[in-house]
Amino acid sequence: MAAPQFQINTDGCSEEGKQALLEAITIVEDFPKPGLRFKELTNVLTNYIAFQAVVDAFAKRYRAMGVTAVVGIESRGYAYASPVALALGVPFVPFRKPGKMPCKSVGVDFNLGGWNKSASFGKDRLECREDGLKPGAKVLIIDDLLGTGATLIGACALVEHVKAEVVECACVVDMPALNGRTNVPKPTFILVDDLSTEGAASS
Amino acid sequence: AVVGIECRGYCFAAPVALGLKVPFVPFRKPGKLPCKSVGVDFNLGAGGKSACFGKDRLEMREDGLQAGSRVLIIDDMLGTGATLVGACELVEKVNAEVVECACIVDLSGLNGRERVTKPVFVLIEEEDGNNI
Repeated sequence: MAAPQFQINTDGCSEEGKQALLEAITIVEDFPKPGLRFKELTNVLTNYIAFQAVVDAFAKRYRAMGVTAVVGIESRGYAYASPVALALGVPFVPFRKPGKMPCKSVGVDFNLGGWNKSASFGKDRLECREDGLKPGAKVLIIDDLLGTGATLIGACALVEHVKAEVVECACVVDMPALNGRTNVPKPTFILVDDLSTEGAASS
Repeated sequence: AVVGIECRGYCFAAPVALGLKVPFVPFRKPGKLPCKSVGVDFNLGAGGKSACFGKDRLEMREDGLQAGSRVLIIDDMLGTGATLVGACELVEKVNAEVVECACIVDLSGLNGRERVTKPVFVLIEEEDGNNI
């Protein structure tokens, strides 16, 4: 397997943290479809130096941008979004798949991307608790991996539905072949870029 | 190590793991992981938490938890205890040790603490004695 070619887009974590993060990313070739390079991130979570590096990098960037709430996308996004929200001292607002909340909720329906992500979002809908996000909040949306961008598009729509503002969407990695950055209408920040030729990353 | 139960448990378990400077190990519903995984099947309790665990199985990445680890399992809420029982089994399946299970609240009347054989810590208890 070719060595991964990654670039870390931050000065917000230590050299030790950056190295741990690069080593923690597991490439899974041809997943979920042939020709795609999936990045599996469990080892980022199980290596606290790598995990803390991600949180430090996001916290430094978004403290400077005046974020007042952090949205996490169910369920892998929660692990990153929650500590970042705590580091920033702002609310963590979980966005959920439908039907999970006993309280009144608000939601948006959205379309899946060009390949079938139905295992995660078969109902094409994201929800949050009705009083969860304040109008006028300056929101950071965090997910672990950017694929087609369909989920982030839905999350941005839900943020705007409750009259809050998306400052930026942040992910640890992306799958450049799926053009997520082009598809998502809000600014998107990817912490670790995939520079491989398969990625054909857009600038 | 700190295990978090998908998905509400992740919100609490991840920051606790970072605070303790130990691995955060996510336990997941089946079929989500592209890497080799290990799992256990378990029975749901009478409380019917099927919206989350219809397939009665928890999994983790195969190399996620080291043998001999001293593990804290965190979930947000303790109901029947069926999920925690499954989580404890998965920890022991990879030869790690459950130190304690911790939840923020529990649901009175479902006897979760009796069902879970490992020590259980609930952060916030109701005062009126309904669930003692």
